[in-house]
Amino acid sequence: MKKIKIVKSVLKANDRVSEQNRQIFDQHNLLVMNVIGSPGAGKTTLLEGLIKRVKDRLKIAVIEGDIFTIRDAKRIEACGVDVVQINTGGGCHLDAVMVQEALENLNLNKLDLLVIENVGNLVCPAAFNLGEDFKMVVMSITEGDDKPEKYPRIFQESKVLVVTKIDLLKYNQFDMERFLNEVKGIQPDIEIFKVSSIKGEGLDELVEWIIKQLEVKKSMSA
Amino acid sequence: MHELSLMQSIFEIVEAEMKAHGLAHIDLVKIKVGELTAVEGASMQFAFEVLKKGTGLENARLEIEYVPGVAYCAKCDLRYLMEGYRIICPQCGRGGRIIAGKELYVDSLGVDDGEENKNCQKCIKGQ
Ligand SMILES: [Zn+2]
Repeated sequence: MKKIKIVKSVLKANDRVSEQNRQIFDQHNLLVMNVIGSPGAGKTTLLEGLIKRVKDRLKIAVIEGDIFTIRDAKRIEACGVDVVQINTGGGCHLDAVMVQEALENLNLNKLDLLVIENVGNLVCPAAFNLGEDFKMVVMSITEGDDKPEKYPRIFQESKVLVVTKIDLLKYNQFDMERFLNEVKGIQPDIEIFKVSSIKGEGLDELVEWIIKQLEVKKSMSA
Repeated sequence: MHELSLMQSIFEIVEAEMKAHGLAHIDLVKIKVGELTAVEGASMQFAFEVLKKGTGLENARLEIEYVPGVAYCAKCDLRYLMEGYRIICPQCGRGGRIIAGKELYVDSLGVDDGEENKNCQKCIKGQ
C-alpha cells in the first residue's frame, strides 16, 4: 500500500469561519454567548427571564437555532428584542457559516450582547465553535444528575453552567452534590448558577455575571 | 449525529487530495480522533459506508486511530493520562490543561499498488 500523508483538520472550514465571526464580534465590542442544552432544558424560558431583566441595561439580539420551527423565536420576539431565526432543516447543530449569514440581518453597531440559542442537543453543538466568547450549558434538574458523565464534552467546553428548574428539586431524585462533583471533575473552573426561571430565583446573579463579562471584554479592548 | 457532517467534511478533504495527486480511487482513509471529541467510531464508519457509494472511495476502508486525552498540571509539572473527561491532576487534585485528545483530522490516504500481494506471492512461492 502506497501511503499519502495529509494531516488536515476536519473542522478547519468551520474553524476558519468561526475565527472570522470572532473578529467581527470583537470589532463591535459585542459579547456573544452560545447557549446549549437538551430539548426541554428550559433554554428559551431562561432567555425570556434574562432578557426581561437586562434589556433596559444592554442592547440584546438573539439568534434562534431550531431544526424546523419558529416557535421559540416568536417567544423571544415577544420580549421586545431583535431575533434572527436559523432553521437547520434537520441539522443537529448550528455551524459558523449559518451564524455568519444570520449576522447580515443584525445591526451589530447597536448591540452589546448577542445570544445564540443553539439547537436542542448536548452532543453536536459542543463540537462546532461559532466564534462566541463562551458557551453556556443549560441543564434542568429533571434531566437527572448523570448528565455530566453521559455528555462530558459540553461541560468541559462551557464557561458557565446554568442548572434550571431548581424549584422542582423536592419532586426529583437529583443529587446536587454528586452532580456538582462530577462537573467540577470535568471542568473545575466552570461558573455555576442555580435558577428557577419561572420563580425568578438566581436570575439576578446570572444577569450580573453576564454584564461583568461584557465589562471585562470592553476593558480588554480599550 | 454530527458524525455525518464530519464525514462530509472528511470526504471534501479526501476528494481534494485525490484531485491534487491525480488519483481516481483510493483504498484507505486514515483519520485520527481524539478521545475528548465525543465522536463515535461506529457512527463514523456508518457515515463512511453511506457516503462512499458512487465515489472514488467506493472500495476504500476507514481506519480510525484514537488519541487518548492527556492533561498537564503546571503546579506539579506533570503530564497525565486523563480518565475519561476528568481533568483533575492525580497528584494535587487541581484542574490541569488539556494537551492531547481533541484531535480530529485526516491523517493519510492509502492506495493499493499491489506491493503486499506481490510479497504475499513470494511467500507462497518460497514455501
Ligand atoms: Zn498537580
